[in-house]
Amino acid sequence: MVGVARVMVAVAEALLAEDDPGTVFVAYDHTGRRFTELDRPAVRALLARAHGGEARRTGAVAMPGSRLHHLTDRLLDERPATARTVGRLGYHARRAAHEVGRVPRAVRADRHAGSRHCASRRWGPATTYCSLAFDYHDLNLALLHRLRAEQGLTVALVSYDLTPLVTPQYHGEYSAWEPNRRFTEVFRAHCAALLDTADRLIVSSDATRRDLEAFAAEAGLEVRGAVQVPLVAGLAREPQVRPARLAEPDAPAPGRFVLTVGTIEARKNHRLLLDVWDTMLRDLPRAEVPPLVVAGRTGWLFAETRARLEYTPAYAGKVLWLDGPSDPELAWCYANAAFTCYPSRYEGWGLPVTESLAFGVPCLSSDAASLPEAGFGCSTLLDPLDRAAWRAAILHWFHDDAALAAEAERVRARFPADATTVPAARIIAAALGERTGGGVA
Amino acid sequence: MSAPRLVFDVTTMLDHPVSGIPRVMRTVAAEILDRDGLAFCRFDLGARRFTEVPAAQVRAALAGALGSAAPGVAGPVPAVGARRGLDRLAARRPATGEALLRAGYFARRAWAEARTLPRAWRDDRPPRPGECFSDAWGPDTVYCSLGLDHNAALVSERRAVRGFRTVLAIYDLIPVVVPQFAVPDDDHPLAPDPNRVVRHHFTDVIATADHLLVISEATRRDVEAFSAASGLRCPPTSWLPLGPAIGAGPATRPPGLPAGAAIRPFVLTVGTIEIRKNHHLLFDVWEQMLAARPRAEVPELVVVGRRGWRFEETYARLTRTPAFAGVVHHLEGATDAELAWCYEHAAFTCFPSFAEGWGLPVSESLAFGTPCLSSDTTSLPEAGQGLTDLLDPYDTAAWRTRILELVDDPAARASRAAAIAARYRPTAPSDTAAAVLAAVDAIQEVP
Repeated sequence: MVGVARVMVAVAEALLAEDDPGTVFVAYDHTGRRFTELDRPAVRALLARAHGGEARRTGAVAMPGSRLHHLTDRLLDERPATARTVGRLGYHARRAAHEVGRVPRAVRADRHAGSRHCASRRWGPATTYCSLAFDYHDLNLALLHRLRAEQGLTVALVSYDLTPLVTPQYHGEYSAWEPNRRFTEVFRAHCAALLDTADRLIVSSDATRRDLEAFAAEAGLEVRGAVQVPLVAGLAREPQVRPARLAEPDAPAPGRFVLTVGTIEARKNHRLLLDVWDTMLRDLPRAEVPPLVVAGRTGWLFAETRARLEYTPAYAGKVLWLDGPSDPELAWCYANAAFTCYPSRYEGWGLPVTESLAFGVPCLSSDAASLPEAGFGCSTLLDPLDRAAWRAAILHWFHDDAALAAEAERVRARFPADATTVPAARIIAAALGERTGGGVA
Repeated sequence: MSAPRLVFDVTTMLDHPVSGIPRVMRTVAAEILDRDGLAFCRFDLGARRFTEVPAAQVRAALAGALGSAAPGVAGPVPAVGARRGLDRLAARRPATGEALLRAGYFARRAWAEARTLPRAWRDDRPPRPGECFSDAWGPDTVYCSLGLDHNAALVSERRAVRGFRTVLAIYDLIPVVVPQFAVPDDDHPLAPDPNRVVRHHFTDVIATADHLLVISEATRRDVEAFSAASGLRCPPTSWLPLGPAIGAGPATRPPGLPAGAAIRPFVLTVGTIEIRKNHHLLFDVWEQMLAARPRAEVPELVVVGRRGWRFEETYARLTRTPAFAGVVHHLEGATDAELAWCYEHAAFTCFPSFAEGWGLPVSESLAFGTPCLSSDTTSLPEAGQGLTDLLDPYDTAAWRTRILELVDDPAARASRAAAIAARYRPTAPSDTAAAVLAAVDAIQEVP
């Protein structure tokens, strides 16, 4: 689960536990352009599914193991041109069949679009609508803005980060949902609508608040009622499961590996770590090079990093990539890491830093943007461009047990105890403006 | 008709006119055109046979190649096509319309493939006697290919039948030694383990060649190590020297450069935009300089190169970093004259590549008398002839120091330029052709 999704799940669980009949759960149906109400069993089922982990990538090959694949593989030797054509034909035919299979759902979605089954009909001035959506596409701010004006409801929303505006080089050039519009342009419009619509804003960090204020000043808007709530995902309380890859014979022993957690994407700066490991593997006896476990699934702008992770011959047994670990697997990795590294170039918060410290595991963290906040003064901050400093710190901690133990002791002594669980109550209070009464949708 | 003495394969040159290898092939073809007993051939991968190419066609290709150059980057996947009825449906029922459009798109792609099946089946039929040009070759024939046609297994098959001999070339073993930086093979829906494909290719080339041309000592070392590790007998090798792709000629200021840019001394880096060229190192240095110095004191960086493969992060950073606006310029698809202008006017060049077979931008920088900071790996010390500054491609701090030194100190640039002017030994096209012919002659002398 993405860290922010874990926060949403925890808040939803807290709301379920409160069992206030005034609280209503809704989902926004994009195709139908309306809100639908979810009853509590449906919400419980969704949460259970979220806990179950995610499907893993099976690899770059489109149709591994299919009969067609084996047939063409054999044909390749005898009739190569025919085999290639059959392969491409099969691939496109399967994609076409897959798309045809989705038509009935699309027909149903179109039929219900804009229908009167919209949960928002019952909302009024006493209602607070709260969404923790992190994907701007999941919000229809124009609709919310209209409901707010027409029905007088209060809207509470979240701003997790402004990375598409501050660091557009780490995002796609065009919007994934509107491929003919530049992403920065789409996101700028989204932020303006967010400020225009939200009565209460939850921001992930002071750094994000500063970015938001800078944006608001530039756009001639104001930031209303922003409350900062730290993002903690509470993974330290999850059950732990050792990932199968880390139980293989060439895997590092528990406690004897360095961990980095985060989506594989350019902004997370895995490049720095891989560069450090390249030079260590080049310059040092293999036994002295710490094993590195890279946990995370691919996001966007990851082609270069993925190629290095998958194909570098020297990484065998030294740099292991866990593609899309489940939460229990992630929890095991944190609990058994010697220490973690998080060299990200820019963040709205920096969950992996907080998570690592919540497990009592020391963290080498980038000093960019919100990352000092995410470390609560317990992380060790380094310049995310300074390879030499990272390499020195990594080797020092990995080979000097006393230094690492002292650091772990410092983390345990100083890390705030309330930063180990999701601050669900604080998020709910912030959404409600610390008032009682009023439903949360 | 008597068997040709030398058959020169021009397949790559005719099929892929842009990029380094076809250029080498053109250089050699132009030099050997008038040799006795020479024939040109091409290889049809679909039909798996050789056909003779008339010398006139090669002449025409040589003349044409100097003029226009087709863009080398494949276009995007065609957008989802739409028919009018579907468009009307999509307006009323967007989800349904989109699902049908997508289904239709893939169905049409499948149908297009189905229609090429009969041709593919025909192409797969083994050639009848006389249909393949190699049937005319004899034991005195030398087949020479400098291209990348992935046909070595078939050449080997025909060689066993006809008894001709072969001179093949290996430019680099990058896909074996550093596969993480190589051209990915893995986006094809049927791609098996990409490393396996590449290993088979080099195994076939080494096993098929009676003589191997290598473009650097570094490549020779890699070929020998690979042969030993794969249990192959490595054939005799010789050096194929490569000269600069462009030389003194017309130079025009690239229209892609904004007015007012690159007036002050600027830094140049030339090479495909791809992970292996390590543009990230330069971007790191420029980010650090932009953070540490007043903007006016940060030199401009001109990045010349097309997008190649595994370039997404590099390209996004190059084109969309806000701080780079007005400081880091990208020229995609510069002409030879524009590139010449860049080399002539650059204060110095940087080439921090992780791995190369040779390193043409280093040779070109030296040919223009422009100082060059180069990576110290693989073949790059050879290409630099002791006239470049060699730096670790991982050591950002060292690059930053040296770049600032050269930016701030014109005397340091001038002394390097003077050393280049005095000591650089350029490779002429005739040197490249002579190396090929020497290899051919050496083989023909062996009974």
